[in-house]
Amino acid sequence: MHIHIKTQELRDMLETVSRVSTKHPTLPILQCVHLTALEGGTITFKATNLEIGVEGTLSGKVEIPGAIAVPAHILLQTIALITHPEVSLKEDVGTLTITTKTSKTSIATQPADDFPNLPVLEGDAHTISGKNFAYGIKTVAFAASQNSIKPELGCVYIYQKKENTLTFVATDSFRLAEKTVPMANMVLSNHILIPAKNALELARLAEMMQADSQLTLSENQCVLSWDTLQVTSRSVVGSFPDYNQIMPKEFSTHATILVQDVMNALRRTNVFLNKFAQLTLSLAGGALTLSSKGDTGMTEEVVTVAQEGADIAISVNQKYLQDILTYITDDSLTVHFTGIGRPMVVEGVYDKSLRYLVMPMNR
Amino acid sequence: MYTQHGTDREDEDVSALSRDLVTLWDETLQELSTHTSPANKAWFRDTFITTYNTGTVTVGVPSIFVRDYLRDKFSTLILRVLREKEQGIRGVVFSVTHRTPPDQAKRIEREKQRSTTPSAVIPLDEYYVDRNDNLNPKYQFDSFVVGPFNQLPHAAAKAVVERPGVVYNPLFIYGQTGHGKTHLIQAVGNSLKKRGLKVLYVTSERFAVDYFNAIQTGDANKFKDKYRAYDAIIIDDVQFLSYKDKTQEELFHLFNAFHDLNKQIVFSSDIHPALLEGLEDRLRSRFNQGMIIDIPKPDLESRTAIISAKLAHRGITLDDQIVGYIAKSIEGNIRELEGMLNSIIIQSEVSEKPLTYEMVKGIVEVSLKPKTNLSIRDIIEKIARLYNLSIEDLHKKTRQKEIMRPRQLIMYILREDFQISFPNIGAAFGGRDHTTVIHSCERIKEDLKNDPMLPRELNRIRDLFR
Repeated sequence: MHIHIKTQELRDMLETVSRVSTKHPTLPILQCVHLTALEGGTITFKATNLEIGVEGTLSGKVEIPGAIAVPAHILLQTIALITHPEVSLKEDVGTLTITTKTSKTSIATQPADDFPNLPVLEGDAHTISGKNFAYGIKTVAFAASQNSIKPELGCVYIYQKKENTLTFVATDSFRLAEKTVPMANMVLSNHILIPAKNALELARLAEMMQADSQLTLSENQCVLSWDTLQVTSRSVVGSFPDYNQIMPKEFSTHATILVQDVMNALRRTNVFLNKFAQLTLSLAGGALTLSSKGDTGMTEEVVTVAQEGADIAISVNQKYLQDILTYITDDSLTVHFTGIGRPMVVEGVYDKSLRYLVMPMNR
Repeated sequence: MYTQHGTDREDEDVSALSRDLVTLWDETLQELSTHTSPANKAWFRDTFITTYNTGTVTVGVPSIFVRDYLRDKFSTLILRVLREKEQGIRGVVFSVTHRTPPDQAKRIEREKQRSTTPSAVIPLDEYYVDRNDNLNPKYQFDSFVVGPFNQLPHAAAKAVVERPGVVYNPLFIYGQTGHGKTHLIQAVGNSLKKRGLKVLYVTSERFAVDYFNAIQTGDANKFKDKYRAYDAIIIDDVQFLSYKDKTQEELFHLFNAFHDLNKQIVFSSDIHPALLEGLEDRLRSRFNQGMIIDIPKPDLESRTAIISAKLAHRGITLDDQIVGYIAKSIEGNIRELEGMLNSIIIQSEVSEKPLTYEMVKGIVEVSLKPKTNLSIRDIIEKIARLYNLSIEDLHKKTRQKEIMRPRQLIMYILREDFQISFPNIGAAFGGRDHTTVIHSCERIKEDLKNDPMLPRELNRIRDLFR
């Protein structure tokens, strides 16, 4: 293989794809980016960690077509330091030589044949707004389960609840986040379950690409594609609990608070959290007291709230409450309580597209 | 209730092999490691034989990436090694599986033990529904508590299960939220399913979205075919179809198609179809063709029975006196009752001693919604509006039935629900004597014994204050 390519384009492409090629302890080939140069000037870049695969194309001058696999991060580091606008890559028996007018670098390659093929595109395609898709995922993904006891709970669950929208849900069974984003002309009859980590990677690329994207779904995979880039993620087959039945419909107390007030209070309580991160919320007479108590001391912070309904005191894991705050777009949030020992729902004052359910602590 | 791909073990023919599948794969992997570079071992992580069927071995792999790699690079080698062990093997296929590989099961067990947190858990396990029919296996007739208040709807539902499509078609069940509509109609669905019928449960919202999507993609016929393929259809919360004319029209046609073929249809709604707003008359008249039944508010005996059943389900026993007290204090819907029980159960789990009557009383009193702070005048005004009367009308010293009756009802409600003293009530009605008030209340109490419609009317009034 021998190609000439614009340095900046090559660098951007390597940055895009090499994120997925991580150090794999047993499969060194996965640290590589795979390059294929075709006659006619199309150069394809591939990287995968077996969870997710990225494939991008660039055009350049191809003198000798061919395919190579080189460690992605070493290649990226080398290219990132080149200041010349154009660079030449040439392969010769196990070595890739990168030359500019003033420099020459050689990197040992790996057998290109060992690099796994990325799955072929199959299934129904939907045109989606990549931006909103990314927004949906990024809003809920934090709530997905970190362990593998139930694979479907480690996923972002995507389905269509209402026309022209998509709904994103994630839960680790202690809290649940649901975000609905507009998605014009969306018709999705099945649901999708994408492992949260992969979903975030899809979101990152969708955000980067800006343009609308094609979402292609089949039983085991979910693909986002643009003209020059294609990302494939493993998807999980399984069902997601019908969480709508769990969302409380009747509440005993509503408290509306400035988001900033809560953030400030949590910074203080954070200092004295015990090992369970227990935060106590006591609502009485229009004031909310947030308190924490650890081995070294305790702290209390009172914020004014608009209270509707009975007084209540409840304990929650502070992290669970904190996690949602950055995703609330309104100035104020409302906490809907359903009673002692029962879940509470947090949402923005106006924006109801995000709902967040948190379970309290047992004591 | 949650089964993962249990079906792909069907029609397998392991007896043709001289080893079990786990041993066979272990031996194969060992042999393979001598043929391939050590690096390749990683490709076989979490793989296992899922099935063996008439000569073909299916190897379960964790992802599409692994599936394609093994298929492209190793299938010939793997087949050769497998055949050395078992002559009968003719082919090998790779398929992404979601069954947990045997060695991963141990890892999960460890994680389970580690994950202890004092936070309560969302009871998600109960809500895995069958994706093909949306039925939740949790809702069964066995778990449906029958009391005097819901005997009739229960009997009708049972009759529908016995002779679907014939006796009551459609079956229309209405009642307020939390009275058990969904449980009952899902139980019908689950029972029909057990009898081998193809059942579909949808909420009217889902139905509308489905229809909207079908129109948008120009697949209206596909939509019709999809729904018509079922033997029975259950549509929950039809009140949400209000003013959705096109969807109603589609439902109307679907209804006719089902009704003509004697296929069962079940509807639920929060109010009587006659009171549903924004509903086309022809659809309304279709609802009226079958049986329309109300699930009213649970009476005291039923509430007691429900509490006992729920406690038994959670493995907790409480004194009869306590159960009676809870039943008496919470008149609202079953969901509220359940909420209160949860608080009590949590308390009983936290506290080391068994719960006493006083403790329960304390919990109930704290958790009960405070009676809304309404002035006597507000209450009178609210009820009067229901009857299209002004306060002045009520103050008139007339014995005209249209005015006298609501006046008596208001006095009764003020006395019974708000514990206002007789003289105060009298004063609120333009200085009537307290004996007049007592007489009015007695009168209503008397009528309650004879007039079957009166409790319903009182409920309608009480709903104003929820």
